[in-house]
Amino acid sequence: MNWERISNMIGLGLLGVCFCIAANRVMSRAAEQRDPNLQILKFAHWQLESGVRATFDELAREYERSHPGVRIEQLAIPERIFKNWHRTQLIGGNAPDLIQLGQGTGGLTDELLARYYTPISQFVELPNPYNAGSGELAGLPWRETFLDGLSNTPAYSDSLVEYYGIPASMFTVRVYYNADLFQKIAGASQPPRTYEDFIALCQKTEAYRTAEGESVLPIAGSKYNAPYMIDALFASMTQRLTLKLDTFHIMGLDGNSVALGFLDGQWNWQTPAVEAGLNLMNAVGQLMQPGFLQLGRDDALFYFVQGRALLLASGSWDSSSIEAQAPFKIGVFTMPLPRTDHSQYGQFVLGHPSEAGTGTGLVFGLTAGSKNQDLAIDFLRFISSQPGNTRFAEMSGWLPAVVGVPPNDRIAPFMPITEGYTAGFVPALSGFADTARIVSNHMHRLVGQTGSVAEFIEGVQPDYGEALASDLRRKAKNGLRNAESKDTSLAANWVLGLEDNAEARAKFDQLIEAQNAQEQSAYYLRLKLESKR
Amino acid sequence: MAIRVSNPKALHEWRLYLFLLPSFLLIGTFSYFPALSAIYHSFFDWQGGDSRKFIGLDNFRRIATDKVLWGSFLTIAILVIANIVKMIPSIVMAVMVHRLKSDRWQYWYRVLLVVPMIVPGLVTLFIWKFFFDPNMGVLNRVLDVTGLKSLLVALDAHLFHWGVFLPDVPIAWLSQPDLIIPALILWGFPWIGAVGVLIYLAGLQSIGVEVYEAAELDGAGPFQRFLHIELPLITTQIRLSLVLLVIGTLQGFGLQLLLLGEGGGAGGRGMVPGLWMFNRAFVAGEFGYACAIGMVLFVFILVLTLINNKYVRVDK
Repeated sequence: MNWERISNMIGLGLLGVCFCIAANRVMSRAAEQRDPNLQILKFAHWQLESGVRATFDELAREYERSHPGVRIEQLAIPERIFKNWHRTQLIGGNAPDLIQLGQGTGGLTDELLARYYTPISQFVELPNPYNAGSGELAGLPWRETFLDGLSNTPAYSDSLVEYYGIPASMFTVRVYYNADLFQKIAGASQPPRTYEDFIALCQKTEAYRTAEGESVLPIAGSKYNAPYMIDALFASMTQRLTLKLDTFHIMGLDGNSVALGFLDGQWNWQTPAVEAGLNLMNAVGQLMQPGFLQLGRDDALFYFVQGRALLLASGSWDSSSIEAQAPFKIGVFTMPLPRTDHSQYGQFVLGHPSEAGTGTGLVFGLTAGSKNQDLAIDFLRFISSQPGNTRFAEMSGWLPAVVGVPPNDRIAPFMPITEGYTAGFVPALSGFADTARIVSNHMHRLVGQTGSVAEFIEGVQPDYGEALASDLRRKAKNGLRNAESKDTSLAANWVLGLEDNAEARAKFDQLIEAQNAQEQSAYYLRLKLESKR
Repeated sequence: MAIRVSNPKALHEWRLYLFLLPSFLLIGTFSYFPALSAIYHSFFDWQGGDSRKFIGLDNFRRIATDKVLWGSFLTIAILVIANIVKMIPSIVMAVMVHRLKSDRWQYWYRVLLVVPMIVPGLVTLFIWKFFFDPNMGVLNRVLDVTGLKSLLVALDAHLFHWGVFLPDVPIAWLSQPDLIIPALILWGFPWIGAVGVLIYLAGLQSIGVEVYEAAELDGAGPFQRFLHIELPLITTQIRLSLVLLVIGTLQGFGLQLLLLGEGGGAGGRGMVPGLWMFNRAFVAGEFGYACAIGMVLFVFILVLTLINNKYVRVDK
């Protein structure tokens, strides 16, 4: 037998062995899933940050120990592909039992929620049995055990009038700093508290780089991280303007009112507050590394933990990862914004924005196709109980979502600051896809190395109004479609007999109210858009 | 030429046709059904769920005035032309491997070409993303070390006035609109595609030894052999590559999505039709409109393939 023949046989043999191993794995897995004595619960999320997966694994093993015959499997899917993965899993009918809802899933339309997720309203009104020994929370409805009362999206859908998710954490944004480098550059122990101090620190860093010849920049930027800083600055300049645009007096940011305000001519790119905001964005953008707009979250993080930048703006979710990777001491401070007494910018400011409205996050929704609905609810009760969330917060180093759960010391500076004022708006309005694209496409003109406010305005101005109008038209259309889709539920409740069935009556009234609100909002948008033609 | 077979003879062993059923079933399910579904949904206002509203040709009327889409076709046209030029290194490489006298070396070169194919495409994309990093990337380092950066700066300042190469400022390949298309073209340097080389090699190896001997007797040099023998005799393979390349470039958007994001990067310069289709579906939630864009893309690809088949002829 010659060598060629032997090598062919080896190749074929290897292929055969691999095939047998793969086949065995697939078949044994299928057999496991058919095992009547084993229930497998799968949950998926995109939180690949350090510590979270290990924490969920630990909680899952703990749950398995107290529930023989149950296996909990965790699927960690990268955020980059989560949106597409989520939709294809749902439509393909292969979705896991629990899926994280929120930014990673993209726009959660009413249709998507209603069709592919199970409302859990009936469960959240009942006490969480795992809170039985938790003093103040024992006997309270489940939803009232969360810090935000479960009143925020995506846990609650105000248009469908149903609860769809259970949270495990909450998120805020702060500025991380390299404490060792800070001590060396600033010679101080306290981080900056005012915008002026912040700029002075950045200037000192640049002077340090020149003097010492070290490649250290003031801020590690990326298209992911930079907005946490520059958008906050812009939003501080539009606080007073937001009050003026607050048509429905909701004391908060309503993208539709801001957009209609622009189309109505109540603000434009030459409005002093807007120009002031752009000036701040431009100034701080210049303090980040050149070309940061082409970089992603990991790049900025890498830059920071390598000691190439003094500051990094990011959320509480990155706290554990940064602690784990940085070979230096980490400090955290709240982004200092111009105050009311600032000579140039003070006239536009109300005061530091409050984080009292911060909603809970890391929300898990129960998929309609789940064959383990009761088990999934029980697992959610377990991880969101006071003891369960305490374990979660301790181990992951993330903020808690449940009342009475203390944050660990490291994450304490991230607890929401409840004192303060309403926040302003930013040009890339949340939920406005075309507008965000236009702003993003021209951002290099503002924060690039040769960028300026005038150049940015020149680029963004011609298309911004049309982008807003296009987004508003889509919102009006979707709003009417969502309102129409409620007709079926309304008819069903009607058939159930409104006079004799108090539950159906209550549901009918809630749905009618939500439908009216959606129709009102959609027709209002259409009317306003029509008047602009 | 195909031999005509009578119907009774063709149907005599009809059971054999059953062996084709699994293939037809798989092709139908995974290739034709999605395509037909896209055609169907392009006439609907559809958000990707169960409910949809028939809107006739509205999506196509909207396409007619979609500035972003038509702008993206200009970008893709540039990329198609660039990719056609980028076929040359693969052809040259195939010819060089083919002309190696040692069979053993030929074998090892073929192996070396195939080995990188094991690396997932996504990893290659990430590596290139890192290459383009303005501050830590290899590309800027190479330009700095070789002095090419100074040359580019001088050309920019004194001759072309592009305003993109500045002294003491790292080149932002993917956040400077004017550099996005050059960066997309530069991607994959030195542009030796393993599949392309193997296809051309297969064509080259089918050329008979007697043809080379005749050329040698006629005094043909290496370049003349390439021009008059090898190139004409691998036109079939080149045409196949060309069709695949045009289809791949027109359909593809993974490179742009990863390097530039969903919006096509600074100034939207990297927006290509496939990325716009993705953007409309997964960012704006307009799946029906995205299907209509897919239909327009299909027509473009079909027309280009027909043109290719008609005009890039192979004379046997």
